[in-house]
Amino acid sequence: MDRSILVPTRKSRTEMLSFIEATINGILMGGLYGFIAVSLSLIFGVAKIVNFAHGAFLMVAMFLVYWILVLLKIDPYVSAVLAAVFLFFFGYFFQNVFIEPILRREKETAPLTVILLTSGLMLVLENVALLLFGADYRMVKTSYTGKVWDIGGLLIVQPRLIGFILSLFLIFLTEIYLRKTNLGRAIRATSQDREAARLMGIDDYKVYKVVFGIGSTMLGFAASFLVPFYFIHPAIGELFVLKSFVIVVLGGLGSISGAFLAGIIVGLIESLGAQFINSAMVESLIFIIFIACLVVRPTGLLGKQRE
Amino acid sequence: MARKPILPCVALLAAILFPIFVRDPYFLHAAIMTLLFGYLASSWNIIGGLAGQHSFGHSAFFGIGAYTSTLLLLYLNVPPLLGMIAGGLLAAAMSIGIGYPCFKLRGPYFALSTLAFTEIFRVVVTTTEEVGSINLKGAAGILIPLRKGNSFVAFQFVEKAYYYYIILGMLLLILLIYSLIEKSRWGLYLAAIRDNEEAARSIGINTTFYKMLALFISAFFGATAGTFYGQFLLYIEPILFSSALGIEILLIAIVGGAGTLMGPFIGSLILTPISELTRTYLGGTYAGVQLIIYGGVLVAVMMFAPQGIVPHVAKRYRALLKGGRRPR
Amino acid sequence: MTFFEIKDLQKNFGGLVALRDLNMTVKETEIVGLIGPNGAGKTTLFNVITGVYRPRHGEILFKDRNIVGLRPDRICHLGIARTFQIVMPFHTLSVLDNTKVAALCRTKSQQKATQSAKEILRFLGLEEKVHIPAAHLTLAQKKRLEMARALATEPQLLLLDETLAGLNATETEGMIETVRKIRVERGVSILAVEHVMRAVMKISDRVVVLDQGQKIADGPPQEVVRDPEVIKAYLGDEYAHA
Repeated sequence: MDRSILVPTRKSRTEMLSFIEATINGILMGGLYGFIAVSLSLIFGVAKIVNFAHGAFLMVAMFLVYWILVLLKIDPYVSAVLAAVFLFFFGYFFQNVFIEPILRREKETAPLTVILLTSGLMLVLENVALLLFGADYRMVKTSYTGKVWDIGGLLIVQPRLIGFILSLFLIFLTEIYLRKTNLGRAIRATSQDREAARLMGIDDYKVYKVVFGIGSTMLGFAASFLVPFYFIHPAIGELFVLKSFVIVVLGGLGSISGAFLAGIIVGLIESLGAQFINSAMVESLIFIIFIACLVVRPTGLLGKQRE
Repeated sequence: MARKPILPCVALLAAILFPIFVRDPYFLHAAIMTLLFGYLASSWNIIGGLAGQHSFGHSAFFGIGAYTSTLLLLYLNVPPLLGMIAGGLLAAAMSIGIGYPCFKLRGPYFALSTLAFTEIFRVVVTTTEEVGSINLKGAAGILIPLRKGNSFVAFQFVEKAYYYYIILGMLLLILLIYSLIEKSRWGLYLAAIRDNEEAARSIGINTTFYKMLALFISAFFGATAGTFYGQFLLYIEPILFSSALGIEILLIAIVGGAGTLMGPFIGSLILTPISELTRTYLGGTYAGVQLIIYGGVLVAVMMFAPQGIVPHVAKRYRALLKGGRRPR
Repeated sequence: MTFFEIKDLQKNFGGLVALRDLNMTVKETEIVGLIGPNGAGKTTLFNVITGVYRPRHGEILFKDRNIVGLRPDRICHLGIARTFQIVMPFHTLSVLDNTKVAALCRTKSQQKATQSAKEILRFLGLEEKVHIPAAHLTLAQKKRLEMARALATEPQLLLLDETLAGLNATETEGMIETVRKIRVERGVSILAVEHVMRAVMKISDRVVVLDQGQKIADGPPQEVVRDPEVIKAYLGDEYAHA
C-alpha cells in the first residue's frame, strides 16, 4: 500500500536535494497529521473521551468531499465548508446519542466503556462504508492534483502546501477562539479541572458537546485538504486514528501546539524513513517510538509536567 | 453453598453429544470455531477479566502460536502438539517484553500501546520475507500440507469430530484453570488490582509482578489457540496478528462478560455463529457484514449492559452460569 | 532504634516545591496529628512516605531503615499502612474479601487470612456486613472498611488521611473512639491528617503543623493551637496578634 505521492523524478537529482524535498514534504504532511491530531486532542484532552471512531469520522468526511467532487463537480476546497458543517452535526449527533448517556451514568462507567463503544462505532462505520463503496482505493483528479511547484529545484506538492497553510490558519483561529471567547475559556477551564469548572457554573456536558462539534468540524476541513492528494478508502480511518493518538500522546495531552509539532515530527519520520526502509516498516517505527516514548516520558514531549 | 448445577451439566452433556447428533460438516465447522473463539476469549479473560487489564493486543499471541508451530512443523518436522507448547512458551516469554512497557501505562494509553504492538507484529511478519532459511511468505500466508486420515501426531483429522472434542477439552481446561486462579489467593490479588491498583499496592501487593504473571498465562494459552487454528484451517497469514482481531477477541469477552467464568464463551456462542453464517450466505462481502453486526452488538452492550451479557442476565434472574467471587 | 523519622525531606513537582526541609518524628504508640491549611502538602507527605512519590532528597527512617526509593508494596510489608482521603475500596469485592486480601499480606493461608479479617472487622464493628459488596456501604462504613483493610496488614505505623471528612457527629465520635482503640489495643502508632480540630485536640499526643510544604509547629495540641505562626497560617496576619 504505497501512500506516498509520486513526485516526478529528474535524472540529475542529487541526494541532497531529494533529502531536503523529503524533509519538506514530510513536514507538510505532518502538518496535516498534526491538524487531525489537534482535533483529537481537543476531544481527548478536554472531554477525556477516547474516540476510536475519530478516524472513521474523517473517512466519512473524505467520502463526502469525494462524492461532492465526482457528482457535483465542486472543488474540495470549496466544499470544505460544507464538509465541516456536515461533520459538525455528524459529531454532535454521535456525541448526543451514544456518548453522553454513558458519561452521565458516571458512577458505573469505566473509561473503557467509551473506548469500547467508539470502537464498535468505528467497526460499524468502516464496514458500512466498505459495503456501500467497496474496497477500491480511489483517487481524485483536480486541476492541481499531482501538480508541483518548483522552488529552486525542489519539488513541492501543491495540495500538500495548501493544506498545510490552511491547517495552520485554522489552528491559529482555534487558539484565538479558546483564549478570547467565553465559551473558549469555559472549555479550557473544564479541561484543567472539571470539578472546579462545574462549581463555577460551567455546564461541562455542554462543553463536551461543543468540543466534540469543534473537533469534528476540523475533521471536515481536514478531509477536504486531504482528498486532493490522498487516497480514499473505507479503512483509512484505522490508519489515521492510531497515528493521531500516537501524535496526541507524543505531543502531550492538553497542548495544541504540542500536538501540531508532534504531527510534524511524525510526518518527518515517515517521509525520511521511507527513504531508507519500506513504508510498512516505517509505520512500525512510529509505533516503536511511541511505545518507547510512553515508557520513558508518559507526559509526552511537550505535555504538562505531572511528577 | 452448592446449588445443584443442573444447567451446566445439561449444557456439558449437550456439548459432548453434539457431534454425534449433528453430522453436517458445516455445522461442525461452525461449532468448532465457536469453541475456539470461546477458548481464545477465555484465555484473554485471565489478563483482561480477572486482572482487569483490557489488552487490545491478544491477537499478537494468537499469531505467535500459529506461526511458531507451523514453522516448526514445516522446517523441523516438529509434531504440532509439541509445537503448540513451544508456541505457548515463546508467546509467554514475549509477553514479558510486551507487558513491561505497556503496564506502565493506564487506561486508554495501555489500550493504545497493546494495539501498537499487534500492528508492529503484523507489519514485521508481512514484510519480512526470510529469516535465515525460513521463509515467512509475508502477506501470502503459509499453507500447511494436507495429510490424509486422522493423526494426533500430525494433528490433522479428516473427520471434524476429532477437532471438536479436542477444542472442547481445551475449553474445559481453560475454564478450570480460570476457576482455580479465581478462587486462589492470586485471584484475590488480581481482583484487587482490577478494582483499584493504587489501593492494592498500599496493602502489600506487588501489582506489576501479578499483572505480568497473569499476562504470561494468558499469552501461553492464547498462543495454543493459534496452533489449533493453524492445524484446523491449514492456512495462516499475518492478519492473525492484526489489531482487528485483537479488538474482536476483547469484544467477544466483553460482550459476554469479562471477569466472569462463562462470559467469554457465551460471547463467542452469540457472536461466532453470526460470523460463520454471514460468511456462508454473503460470500465476498462477508467480512464487512460480520463486523457491522459485531460493532453494533458492542455498541448496544456498552450502552445497555456494560458489564456484559452474563452479569446482566445473572443480575436479572440470579441464575448461576458463572462461578465467582460475587457476593450474594 | 529510630522508630520513624523524616530527615530534610524535599519533594518537587516540576518547578513547584511541595515539601521543603521537613523534619519530624513519630514515636512508638504515639498518635501524631498532622494539620495545616489546604495545599500545605499533607497528602503529598503521605504519598512520599508510602513510596508513591520519590522525594527530591531527604531520608525517611523506619525502624532504622531508610525507606526512600522502596516500592509501596514493600513499604507495606515493612509495617506502614495507610488509608486514602477519598475512600478506595475494592468495589466488586465483599467487605470480607476486601479485608482478607490485605490480611494475605501476612499469611499465605486463605483460611488464616479469613479468620484474621473477621477478627478485624469485628474490632471495627463491621461484622454484620461481611458478605455485602463494598460498593453498597455508607461512607462511614467505607471509611471503617478502609481502616480494617489497613489494619489487616498488621502495621506498626498507620497513616490516616482525613478519616473524619464527611462524617456526621455520631459517626465522628465513633471513629475517634476507634482510633483510640487502635493505639491502645493494638499498639499501633498513628499519624493522622485531619481537619476536624476538635478531634485532633482530643486524641493527639502531639501535633505537627504544615504550611506551604514546611513544618511551622510541632508540639502538644494546646501549645500548637496558640502558636502565632499557626494562627497566621490559617487565618492570616490580623488574627495572629489578637
